[in-house]
Amino acid sequence: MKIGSDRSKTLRLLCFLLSTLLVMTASAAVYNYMYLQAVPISSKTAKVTFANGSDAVAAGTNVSTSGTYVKFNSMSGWPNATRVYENATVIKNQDNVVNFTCRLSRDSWSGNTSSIDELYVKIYNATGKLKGTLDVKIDGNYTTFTIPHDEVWRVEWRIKWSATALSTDSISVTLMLTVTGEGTNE
Amino acid sequence: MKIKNFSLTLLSIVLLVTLSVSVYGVVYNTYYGQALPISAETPKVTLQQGTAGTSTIYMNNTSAKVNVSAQITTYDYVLKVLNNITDAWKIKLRAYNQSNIDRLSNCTIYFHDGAVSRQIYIYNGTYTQQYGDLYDLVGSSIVYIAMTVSATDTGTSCVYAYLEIFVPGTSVYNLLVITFEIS
Repeated sequence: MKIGSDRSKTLRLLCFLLSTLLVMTASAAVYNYMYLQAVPISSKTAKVTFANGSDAVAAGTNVSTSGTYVKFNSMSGWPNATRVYENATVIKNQDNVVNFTCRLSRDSWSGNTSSIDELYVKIYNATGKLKGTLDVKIDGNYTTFTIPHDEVWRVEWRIKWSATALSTDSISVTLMLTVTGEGTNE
Repeated sequence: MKIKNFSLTLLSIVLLVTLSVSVYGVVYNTYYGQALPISAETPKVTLQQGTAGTSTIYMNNTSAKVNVSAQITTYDYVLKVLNNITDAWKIKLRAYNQSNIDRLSNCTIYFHDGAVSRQIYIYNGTYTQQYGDLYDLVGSSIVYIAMTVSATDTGTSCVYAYLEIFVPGTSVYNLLVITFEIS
């Protein structure tokens, strides 16, 4: 009789546990689907672009087809002298209404960076007024400027190698230009 | 009750404005510019000591200091500019700073290699000419820098100048620092 009672209790406990598990499982299975659709994500022509400056040949300027990437592969300098490329590339705002705010900063640099005395990238507007200076040597340095619609601004590089720099020394620099607002309301 | 409603309305407006600004602000594009590489190269134009006054040429021959005395009027020449390659350049001098030039009744700094080109001219303590015309530095040639000086008083004056060396047909140039010290 006692054995039967224990079995009954065990069965009830088992039923209770199974019920609990069922409730928990059922709860976990309650969910809603929500969708995010990007229809379409389209490719647009950039409003702000790079283009060759008048010193493109000397600086070895190569601009990508879209105008959103520029590479300089033949800039150099002499030790203890300053080399200036006044117009290595230009930045164009091709929109005819909107002025865009840009932020120029150093993304990375490597090589014989300790042999560099000065490295500046300067932005000049169409009338030759200085609008921004990036000191590439300083970590975290940046410059911001707003380029008005339909304007073309030039980018100048100023490079000074130290007196002790060797003719085998070189550096690589990657700069980042962040253009805010482009792509809004397109 | 009215104040509470007003506060809620104001808060809603502020939140909506903030939201719209934030949404606008996070739309941006990132472009990259790469300089691969920027190299140091052997100087193609260098400075050498002159035969007049005292000149000091610094490392790599790309900067110099010239010392002259106003007791002698003409120093020909204080420096040589050497073109070490066959390509031609255009050069000029530009004074970018100075000290105690009031005492100089005359300080003329000029190029010559046959033809003479006045580059910097101080007359009665003030600049009459702070930079010169572009001068041809033909391939594998030498241009001489000479001076005439006179002073009304004792002391030491300095003229800090760049020798600007242009790649013809471009706005690419090199700046070599030359200090002229006149005692």
